[in-house]
Amino acid sequence: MAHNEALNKFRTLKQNYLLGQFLRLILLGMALGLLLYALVNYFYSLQESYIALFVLSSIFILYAVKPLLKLKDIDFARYLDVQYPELEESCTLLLQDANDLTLLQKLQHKRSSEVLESIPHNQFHWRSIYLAIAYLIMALCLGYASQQWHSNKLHNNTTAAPVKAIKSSKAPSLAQIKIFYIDVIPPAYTGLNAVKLNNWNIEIPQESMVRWEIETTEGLDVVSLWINEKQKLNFKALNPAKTKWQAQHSFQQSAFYQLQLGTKHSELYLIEVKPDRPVSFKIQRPKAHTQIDFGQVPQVVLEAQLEDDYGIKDAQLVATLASGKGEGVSFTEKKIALKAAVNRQKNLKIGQNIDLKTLGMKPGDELYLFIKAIDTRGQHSRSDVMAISMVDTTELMSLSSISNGVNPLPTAFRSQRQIIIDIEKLLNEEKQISSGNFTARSNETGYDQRLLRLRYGKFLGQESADEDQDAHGADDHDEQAMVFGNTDAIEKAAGHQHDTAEDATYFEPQTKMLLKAVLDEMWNSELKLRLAQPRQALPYAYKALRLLKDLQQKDRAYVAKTTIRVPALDLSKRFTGEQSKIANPFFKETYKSENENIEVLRISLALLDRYKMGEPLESPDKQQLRNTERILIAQSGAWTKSYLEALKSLRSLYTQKTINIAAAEKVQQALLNILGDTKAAPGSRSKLKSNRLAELYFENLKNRPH
Amino acid sequence: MQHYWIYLTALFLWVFLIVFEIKRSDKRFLILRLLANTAALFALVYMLLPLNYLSSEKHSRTELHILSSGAINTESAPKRIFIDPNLKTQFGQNAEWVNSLAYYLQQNPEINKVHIHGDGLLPDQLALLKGYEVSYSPSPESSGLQSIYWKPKLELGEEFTLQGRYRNRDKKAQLIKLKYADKTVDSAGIDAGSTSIFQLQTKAEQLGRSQYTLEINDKNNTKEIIALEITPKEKIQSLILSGYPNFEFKFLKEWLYSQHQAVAFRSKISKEKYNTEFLNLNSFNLNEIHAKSLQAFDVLILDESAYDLLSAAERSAISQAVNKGLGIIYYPQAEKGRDLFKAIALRKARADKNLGLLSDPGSKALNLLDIEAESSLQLSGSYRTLFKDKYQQIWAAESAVGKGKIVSTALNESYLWKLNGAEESYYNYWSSLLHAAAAQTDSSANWLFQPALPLVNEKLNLQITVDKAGIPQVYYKQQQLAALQHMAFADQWQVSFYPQQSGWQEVQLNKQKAYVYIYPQGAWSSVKTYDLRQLNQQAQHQNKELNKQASEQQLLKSVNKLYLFMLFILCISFLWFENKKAQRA
Repeated sequence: MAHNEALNKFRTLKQNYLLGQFLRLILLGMALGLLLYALVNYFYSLQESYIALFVLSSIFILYAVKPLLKLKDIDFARYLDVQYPELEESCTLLLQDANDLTLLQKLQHKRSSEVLESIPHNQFHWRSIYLAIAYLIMALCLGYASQQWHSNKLHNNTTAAPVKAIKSSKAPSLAQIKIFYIDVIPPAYTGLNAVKLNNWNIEIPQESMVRWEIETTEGLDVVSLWINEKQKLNFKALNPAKTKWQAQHSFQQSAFYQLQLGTKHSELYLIEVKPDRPVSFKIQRPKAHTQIDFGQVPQVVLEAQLEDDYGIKDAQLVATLASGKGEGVSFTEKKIALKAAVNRQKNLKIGQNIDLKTLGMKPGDELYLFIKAIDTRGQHSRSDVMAISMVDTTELMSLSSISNGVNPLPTAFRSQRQIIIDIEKLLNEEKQISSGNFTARSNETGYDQRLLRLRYGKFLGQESADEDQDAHGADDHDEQAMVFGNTDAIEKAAGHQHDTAEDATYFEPQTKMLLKAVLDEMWNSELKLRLAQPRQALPYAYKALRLLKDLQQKDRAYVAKTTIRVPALDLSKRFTGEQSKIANPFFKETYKSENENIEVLRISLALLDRYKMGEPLESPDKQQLRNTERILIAQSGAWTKSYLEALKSLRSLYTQKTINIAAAEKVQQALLNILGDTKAAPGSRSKLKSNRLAELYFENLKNRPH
Repeated sequence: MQHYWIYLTALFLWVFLIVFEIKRSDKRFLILRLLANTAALFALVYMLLPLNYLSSEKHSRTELHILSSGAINTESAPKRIFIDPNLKTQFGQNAEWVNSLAYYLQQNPEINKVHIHGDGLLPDQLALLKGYEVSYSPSPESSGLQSIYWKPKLELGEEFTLQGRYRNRDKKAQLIKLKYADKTVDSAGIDAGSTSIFQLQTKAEQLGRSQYTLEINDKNNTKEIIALEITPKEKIQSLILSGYPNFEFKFLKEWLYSQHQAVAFRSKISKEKYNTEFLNLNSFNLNEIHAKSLQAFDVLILDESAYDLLSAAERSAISQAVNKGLGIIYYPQAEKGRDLFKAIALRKARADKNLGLLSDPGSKALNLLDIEAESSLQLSGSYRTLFKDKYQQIWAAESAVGKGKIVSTALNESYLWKLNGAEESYYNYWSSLLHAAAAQTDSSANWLFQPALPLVNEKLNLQITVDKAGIPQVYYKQQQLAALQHMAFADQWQVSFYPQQSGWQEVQLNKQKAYVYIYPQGAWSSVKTYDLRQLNQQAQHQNKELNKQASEQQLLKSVNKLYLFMLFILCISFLWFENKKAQRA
């Protein structure tokens, strides 16, 4: 009896376990199915109903991996043994026939039965089920996210997709049309495949060939298509029954078109042409103006990104080198091949080192760089120019600039040049002199540099800061003694000053900035000199000198000389006062009017106003509106989809018997868009011309005795 | 004293009679006879002339209550009537409906005081109440438009301005929107519980008869139509005379040319040598300016240096042409004016770094000009400022000379606006100068429709000023309307009719067409009600004055002639009888 009970308990446990496992399998299957769906959906858009397929197949796969129904008792017994050590690996005993057991086994059997009895019915599987639920939630989240990404991607795609139906305006077709297709064959430059669309309103790349294929419900004599109300395109019948028709046309510009089946006209449809833009450039490096100072590596890193709608056919780097000075400037143009391969890609990243030495650039030269690109349609475009200049140190050393022009700075400041000469001399003699001597001389030059810096500092009002520090050591006590009882000093220390010494200089802010930069360079130069590193100090010294030169030349402006050619004077005619041969100059011209159109639009605006108030459209009014329609269509290039609506509304006005205020307003808004703002224009005031009474009064007023 | 000869004759007769009576030998009844003679003569005279006397008797007051729409029926009042048949359901039970107020007043002569309740009586009904004491108690005012005004006829490019007053009794602010083609073009807010004036502005783009809508989202959901007619601008033909080549005239010329305006340009090169240009204009000889060549132009634009170069004949031709209506735009260059321009001179100006001009009526600011102008205008005589600056210095002004206008300006670098891209300012500046100067073009009749907001089936008056002698031929819907000439002015006529349809209605006058927008029944009701209230209030004030006077002055009454006749017969018979008796004796 006990044996049977234990066995029953075992079976119940197994059933519960299986149930739990099935639940888990289904949950996991759903999670997996969702994940797979999300993954596939991201790349190829699928319908939602596919989720069921994915889920079912995942469950099936999971079951195939783990066939739960095939779970044997013995396996479950082993599982129980592992799960419950208190069973002492003897759960299998429960499965054996009680009669076949040995005494020891029987004893063990009894103990196991008791242990089994103490195990609650549904203990094990909850944890795995929770886990499965967690997986499912995660999968759901992922699935939702992927849907979002996918729709984003789709959205991006739709704006980028060059050939598409304009979905927002699904236009109805004529009743006689059974089936229609529009084949769009994009031009070769786009590298796109032909697309079959089933919408009358379409958006295409420029130069695309559009082919309409129509199947009508009945045989027709003539099927034609009007483009912009002007151009007529006849369809070709493809079968003798004259029910299948075809026509094609290539579009350069956006257009409206209208089908004519026999005598029936369809409504207006829109073809919007997206023009191919030339390659665009984004240059991260170098900057528009780059200066290579002495000591800098003569190299420039070019980082740029090129973009095009359909592909870049070719791209080149063009470098123009300007060398020489004054009137002897010569230009040499060089083309530098790009390292990145150009292979009709839409995006091209350029990252390239340009060695200025190999381009033949010498100090004092300037290099102008720009990128030239051709897109697949053959449109050329070029980037902005980046100028790179190399500083000519020898020019800095020349004294020519001193001899002419205005020098706003005192002579003492020119000794930066002397410091550079000293450093260079020191470097030349480095091997001949002892290291101690070298260090001392370097330090000495550093001291010179310091003096110079302090002198420049004076111009910025810095003298107090620096010299105070020097003075502190020696005159500390004196100063304190002086400070004691000095109300000015106390005031100065406790209060605050409104005008700082730094601002109280004669210089312009820009000049001051340059001066500060000079001081910075001098600081660095001095630092290196004091550290006995004159080689490192040299670039700073040069830069300081260059900035000083810039300062000197700040106030100069250069105006190019122009040449005029004057015809030779006939001296015999001079001072004679003879004018008989001089004709009166005369000029006559009439302004070509574009405003007539505008006038028509204005009149139509008011006409629609009256129409809205219930005045019926007479035939001259309809003629007026037809003229308006012509102008509206002629405004091609500027118009968008909203104009299509306006045109449709305008057409509906002729045909509809009842007054359609909304349609009239739509047209008015489009007209207002075209008209823009009225500018003030000259005009005279109108008044009664010959009011006899006023005339008499005026005459009497004039003749009144004074 | 026009009857003095009667009195004289009577006096003469009286003296004659008295003398004869006294001279009579028979002295009986002398006193009586003298009295009888005097009395008979008195009776005779006042039988010929009216004999008035003042009566101080006072009438008892009978009050009539007239109820109009919006009235709260006052139960206590005894005599209550209403005239509008639409109010029957409202007042029918406790007030009497009267078809004709005039008839009712005739029937009830005892009434001498009228009390009006509600929105008030119509003007023609009020006219019947002359001589009655009128009092008016208006119904409580509700939210709504009180008045509205706009110019019903605009020129293209002219700013369309709509002004009005709105009473807002609600607890929330109201937004007044001016809409065109279902788009709000301007709006104004009215604070809660306030009555304020609003102004809406836009520039009309349409040409012809058109309408805007005024929308207020209040309890009544006010939605009114603003009808207006926009006419194209008349073109100006201008002649520019330049002493030397300058940018000001070059830019002006080019702008006018691009605006399809006719421009002739002449600048002197040398003695009797001129450079002439004709833009949008047929060419003719401009080497000499005379009265005939000036006739072709509306505006003459010149600076003082160009004026210096003109011959005396040319100058007099110009001054004659101005008197006949030519407009001149003149740039003075000296501190003393002369000849035709003696009232115009320059004076040293107080200048900022930038010159900021304001248009004088309206003070609309133009963009700043990057110039430090040295001199502004100094004008004497009568003039109207067109542009001034914040120091009230005049930069452009207009003055009348004869029938023409002289517009003077001290700003000779207005082209800088164009160069700085402030084209709007340039256009505004020049179009107002040209508008001020341009000779007035003719239109052969002036029209004025009254009231300004005509309703269907309501009387509409049309006042016409014509230039032609003869009765104006006015037609409305193929029917001729009778025109009434003004009593004093022969060229002014009035036509009255009742438009039967709402919307734009065409009226023909001497084969010219004019349009008037007729509003449907119930349009602008709050404005109309407000007007009516004002009118009734006025009537109350006027008639109160009248009645006060009447009650203080005693009434002037005349003596019945019959009494005088009897007195006369009595006196005569006494004298005749006495005479007979005396003769017998």
